[in-house]
Amino acid sequence: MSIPFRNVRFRIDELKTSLGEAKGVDISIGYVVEEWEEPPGPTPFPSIATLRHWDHTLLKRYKPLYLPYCDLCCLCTYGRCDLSRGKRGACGLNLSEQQSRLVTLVCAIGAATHASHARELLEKLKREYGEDTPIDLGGEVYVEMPITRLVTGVKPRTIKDLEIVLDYVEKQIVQTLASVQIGQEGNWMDYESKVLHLGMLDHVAMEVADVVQIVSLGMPKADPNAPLVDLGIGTIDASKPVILVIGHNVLPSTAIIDYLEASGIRDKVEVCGLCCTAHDLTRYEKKKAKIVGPISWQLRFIRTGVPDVIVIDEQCIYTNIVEEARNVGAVVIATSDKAMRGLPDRTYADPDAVVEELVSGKIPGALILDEDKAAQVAVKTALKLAPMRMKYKLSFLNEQNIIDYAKKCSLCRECERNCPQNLPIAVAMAAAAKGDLSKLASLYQRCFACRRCEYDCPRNIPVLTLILSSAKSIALSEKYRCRVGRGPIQDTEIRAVGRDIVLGTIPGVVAFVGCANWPDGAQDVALMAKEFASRRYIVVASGCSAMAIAMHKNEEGKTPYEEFSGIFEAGGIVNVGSCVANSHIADAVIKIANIFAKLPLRANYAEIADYILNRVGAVGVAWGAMSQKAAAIASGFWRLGVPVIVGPHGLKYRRMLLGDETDEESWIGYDAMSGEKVKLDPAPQHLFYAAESLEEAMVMIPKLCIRPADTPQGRAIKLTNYISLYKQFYGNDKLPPDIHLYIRTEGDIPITYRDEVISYLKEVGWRERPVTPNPTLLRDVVEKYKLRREGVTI
Amino acid sequence: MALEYWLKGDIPPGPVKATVVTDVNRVVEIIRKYLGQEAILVGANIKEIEAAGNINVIDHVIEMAKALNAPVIVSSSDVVKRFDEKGFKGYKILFPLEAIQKISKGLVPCKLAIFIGFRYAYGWLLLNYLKHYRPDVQSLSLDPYAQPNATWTLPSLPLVVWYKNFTHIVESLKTFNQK
Repeated sequence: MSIPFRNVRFRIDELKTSLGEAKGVDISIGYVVEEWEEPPGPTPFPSIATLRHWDHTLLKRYKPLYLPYCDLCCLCTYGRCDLSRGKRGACGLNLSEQQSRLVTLVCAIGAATHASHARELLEKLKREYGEDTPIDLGGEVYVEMPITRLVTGVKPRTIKDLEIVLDYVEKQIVQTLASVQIGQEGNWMDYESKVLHLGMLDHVAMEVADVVQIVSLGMPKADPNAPLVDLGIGTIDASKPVILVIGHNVLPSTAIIDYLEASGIRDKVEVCGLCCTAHDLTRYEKKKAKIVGPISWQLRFIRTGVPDVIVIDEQCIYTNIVEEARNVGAVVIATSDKAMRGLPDRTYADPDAVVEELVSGKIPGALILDEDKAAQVAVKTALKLAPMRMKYKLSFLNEQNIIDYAKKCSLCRECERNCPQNLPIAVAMAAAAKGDLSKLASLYQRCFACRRCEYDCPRNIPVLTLILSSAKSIALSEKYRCRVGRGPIQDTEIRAVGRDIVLGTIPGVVAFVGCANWPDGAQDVALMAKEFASRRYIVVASGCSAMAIAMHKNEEGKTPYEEFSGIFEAGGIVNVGSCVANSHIADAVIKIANIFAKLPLRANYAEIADYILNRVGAVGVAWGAMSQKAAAIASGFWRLGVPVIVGPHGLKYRRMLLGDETDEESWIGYDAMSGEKVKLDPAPQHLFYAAESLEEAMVMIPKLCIRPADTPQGRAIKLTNYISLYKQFYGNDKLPPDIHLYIRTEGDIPITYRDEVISYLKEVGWRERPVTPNPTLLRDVVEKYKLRREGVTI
Repeated sequence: MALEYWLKGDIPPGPVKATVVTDVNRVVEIIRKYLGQEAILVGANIKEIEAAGNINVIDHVIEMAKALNAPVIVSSSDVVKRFDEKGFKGYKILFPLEAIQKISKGLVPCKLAIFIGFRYAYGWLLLNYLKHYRPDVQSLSLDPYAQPNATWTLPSLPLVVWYKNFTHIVESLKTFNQK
């Protein structure tokens, strides 16, 4: 156990000294969080080793299938070491251990990023709003911050209480990161356990970050009817001065809004955002601010020439953005020491002097590490610069320019060879050279504007600009409505659906999360979300995926957020908010165990995770997962017992965690009531899975929502969806070949497909087997059940 | 360029690299050597290849499978529909990762795994698993882009040239089968 040293509290009932006697002495050293009525759980402030047993239990079932990104190790000067085909490096590591080590490193980066983000928000908002700001998430959220409570055992009342939580997270990240140093960890399973540990820490950090900003900045508090805001390039009013904010830390953006409001000129300036800062900006200013789009819209939008001032904060910002801005006569204001981009520090300069430097072009941008000052400079610069930059606004190449450039193309295909999507650019260029721009325009949806094509063109053709200019009408028609991130799920919503989720009669919770590295464009995320909401799953979304869901319209011209309810209910599509709001998705599954099943929450991680794995049919889908943060977020879900599906690019995360239905031993668990060893269903079958295609993901989603504890009715509903989607894609005459593995008794058989399934079951020699209503992987849980039956409070 | 692996950013440096086979007759020889011990894995990207080149690849895959009497493993719904339309029954719907897992465990017996129609990076990562963890299973990439982690791969060629080579390979296998 690791408890921050400065917070010590002890009580002495009776103290006798030479000076006298005292009774009920309560001594505190440092700050102490208020006591919590729930008895302490078994694993407060877990260290790396504390939950190792749970991790190993998971990893014995879901073993890594390694897909090395690189066959060598080049992390030290012994190397590079060849690790191919069973060889070990100079330090002794083999290829599998090296992959797990690298995943540990990746997740440490992700967790550190969220922890740092959380720390900045906490410190700044404490100063601005006071450390006694209560953690009040609205009248319908009584179990605030369940991840924090589950992991640390702390029940925070004010934002000051979160200091001790972040202290713990930061110390643990450092401790775990140290294991990546040469000569530290040397076992794949223990590295993978560290990955899970980092994921758990990441979730705590995200929860701290989002809760601090919700309670301090007045963001929606579990509001299912959070307003709708404009999203898309076409919604931005280019006739006004435009300030574009990019990143994840909302404080510079809120300062801009505050400054505009205080100056009485809010309506004169367009403020829009990209990536998670955009989500949080609209959570702060719920009507006027606009979302341009996901992270991959950065260069798309900048190259329209529309933004006058680009304010960057942190994470996922195109690192060469200063050059891109300069090309369209815009300026960059950096506001974080984590992303200073070589810009001159003007934090302590007179704002008006900085405005002059920017407007005159003397400097391409400025670093201003003071949000209020950055806001003032951004607004004043935008007002002055906009009239001077009119020639750049919507200055796409015209058709003849595009054709002329295309004629320069030698069809060498170097652009294709450097395109992560391997897009057929050469064919499109050849058509464009003949005057047909449709093929170039069609690349727009699948291109995520990384610009790698341009860097490799021997004839310096601005390939990306050609694609964007060909698709000008598509870009300008991007006008959608996105639900503002609502933050947490209400306890009352959990109570309303908890039973149905655990019984399986709501077939699952599907969370679309993560970045914009989609293989075939944003629309696939929207299609999936709509399909599962229509099938009465609860659909949850965050980050760039929540934006992608908005970028689709039905026949009536309505986006999914207008078509479906924002309530956490069957058939709802719920946008929780930015990346850090992912914590509310984990919160929801934890609350199902705590509120519905009444399991103790306080520092009771393994029991809750075991419950979720076996009973809560939730699955995460990070179709465009790309970043280190996404890896950390996913690993937090794995430790909590929630499987994650990624898109084909996700295979580059170096290893999958796959179950093997033929490995009978790995599916052995216990009946928590009898303590008997039982063979459980192979469910969820996998913990981390990269689907190659959309249809594969859509078939895998209902399958990974199956849980051993499903009731027959619930299982039948889940299998109905599994079979129905399988038939939808592969033909009505087909059944999933593994369907017999998920049918325990005839009661599990979906009525709709009864005859067909029974016939198949006969074919494969299926036999009825008992249902285990209280499955667990942990012997400890059997003991807990026994003690609880005996009335012992644990 | 033909002998170089395809995507620049996705080439893993490593000592065990694919042999780029430029002689299509050599490819036929390799396939024939493993006759009866092959599995053909068809990826979802095959429809992209067909669309980009305005060519019919799937029919040739069927012909190849019939000529070799080799099982086809596929998960793309479009490909499955095309197989069904053609009355081709020799396929099994299996997701690629699960297929690799099963090949690895010997549950899909094969000594030569033939890959075609995979997204480039997805394909090379699957191939890298086999390269390191099942070196006894040889792999052959028939995609238009040279794959570094296969045992053997076709070169990176324009689609027109690749298609000519591919159809030649299939025709040669058919001819051999008829003898």
